[in-house]
Amino acid sequence: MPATRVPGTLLAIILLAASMAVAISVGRYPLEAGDILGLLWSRLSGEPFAGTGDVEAIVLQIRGPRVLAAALVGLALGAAGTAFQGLFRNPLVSPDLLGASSGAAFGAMIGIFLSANILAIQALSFAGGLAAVGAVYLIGSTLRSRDPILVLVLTGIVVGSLLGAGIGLLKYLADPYNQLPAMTFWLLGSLSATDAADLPPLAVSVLSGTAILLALRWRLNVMSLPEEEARSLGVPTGLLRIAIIAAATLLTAASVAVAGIVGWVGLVIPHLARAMVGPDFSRLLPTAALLGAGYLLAIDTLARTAGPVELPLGILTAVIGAPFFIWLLARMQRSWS
Amino acid sequence: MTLSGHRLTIGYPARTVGRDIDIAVSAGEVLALLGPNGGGKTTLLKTLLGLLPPLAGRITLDAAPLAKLGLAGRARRLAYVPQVHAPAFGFTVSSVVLMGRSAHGGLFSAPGAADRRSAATALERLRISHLADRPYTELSGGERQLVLLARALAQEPAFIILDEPTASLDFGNQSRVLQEMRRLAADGHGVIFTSHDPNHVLHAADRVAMLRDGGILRHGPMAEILNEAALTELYRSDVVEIADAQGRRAFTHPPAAPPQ
Repeated sequence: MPATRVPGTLLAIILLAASMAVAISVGRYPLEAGDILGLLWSRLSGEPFAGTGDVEAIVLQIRGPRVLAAALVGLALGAAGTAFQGLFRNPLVSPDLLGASSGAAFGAMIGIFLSANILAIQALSFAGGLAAVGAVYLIGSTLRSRDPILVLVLTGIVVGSLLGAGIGLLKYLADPYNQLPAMTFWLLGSLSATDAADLPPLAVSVLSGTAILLALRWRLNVMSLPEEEARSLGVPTGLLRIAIIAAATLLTAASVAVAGIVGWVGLVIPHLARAMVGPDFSRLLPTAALLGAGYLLAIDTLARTAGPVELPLGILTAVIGAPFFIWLLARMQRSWS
Repeated sequence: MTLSGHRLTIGYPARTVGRDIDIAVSAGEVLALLGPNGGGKTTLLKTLLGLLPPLAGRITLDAAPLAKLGLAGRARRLAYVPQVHAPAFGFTVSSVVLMGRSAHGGLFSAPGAADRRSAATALERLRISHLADRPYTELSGGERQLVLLARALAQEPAFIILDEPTASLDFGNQSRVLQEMRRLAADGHGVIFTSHDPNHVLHAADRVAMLRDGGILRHGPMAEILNEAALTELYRSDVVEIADAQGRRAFTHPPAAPPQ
């Protein structure tokens, strides 16, 4: 069995590389592989680029940033979903369990309602996600209980539902000609407005959150055991719970701030990765992150090339994710291994 | 090395489970906590492990207070074997046993060659190396109990503390687990286990503490205090001892009254 596991991670890397190659080439202005490689070579070697200025503009300013953003968002959702499923000992958990997505959505709705610019909307969204999970964690730890995990989940449901009401109110109050369509579009999820300026903050949040989770990947195994058992193995569960929730929230809030609500990725990808490399988080976490990046990039490429108008990303991930998840359920009835 | 509790009051802030408990176990001996369900056995076990702070009294490891050791320090000295359960994920047996090494490395460290060797040795020690690549969730109850015991051995502890290790096992596996506990003690581990079956205590224990209603009814060498009268008092129900010509003993229920 261990022999089949290394190829699982390798397969995820190959899928990501293939998605990247396809995503950068296809679009309204198809690019030749030679042009792209030539441009990359000129950037690496410092020699002047022989191709046209159009190629350079498309790769560096339009398609390149979007490809990287899609991969980062997928990476974030895959890693955060895997960590949350381990932490909450439940394979049906997705990274928005504690209100990260609804908090981020509420923040973005406030930004749109106040007619803020796109950067301010993203900042509000990111802050909203962090604040929502922070509030859930504080309320959850104030309510002392012998099952801290259950209290957190229930608090998350309550806060998430309250934020849902807030989003509904803002949509109701919004200007129906400008703001309401912007809100609706944002809630459906899309990367169409992504440009190069979005990349640095996204990359910093996603890479640091993923690095924390990767550093803790061996402890995630123990964290998926019952609380007392994990403590008897010498693992400081309270401290690690804060670290894992903080890292996963950073990942989720950063991706929602850039891409809007993109559901199902954080739920489906960990399952797919588990089928490839098994449940041990030391292998599962890096595989799920890579697989998430390749998957979301493929879906985003489909979203911008499949129809005459761009399809919302969140709708595509749901249409593909839901039946796929049912297929997984049917296939894995025995155990979540 | 001796793990001892002095004048312990145990339980939860809102609910005291037991009081005035004095208990001790030394390296190389098996102590059984025997008593009816709800008598405070599991609460006492968790208190001795440091998972539940005592409401009063103190727990020491030789002369040092247990609380001073910290979570990882305790895990390198005391290992907990919980009741067999089904975890959410189907980790392989070797992954489960490797988790026993958590307290031997830093928070961010990955297990090294020494950790893998220790896990492999623990599996060999319990003669279950052939299960290493099987998912834990697909094992029988008896196999799972042995895997959890192997994980405890991988912690390289001085004391191994088992909660109802025979409760969900069939007859053959019960006897195997009881024998393993004897072997652990013969190797110099101190062993504590809870049970509500006096026959398991008879087979495996050197000393026994009888717990009822949160207090210790009797505490002493098994051979001296485990008898009909003590068990009848402990369970508030008649217990009959039977013995054969070779001196083999067992406890059983009084014969049912014949139908009228």
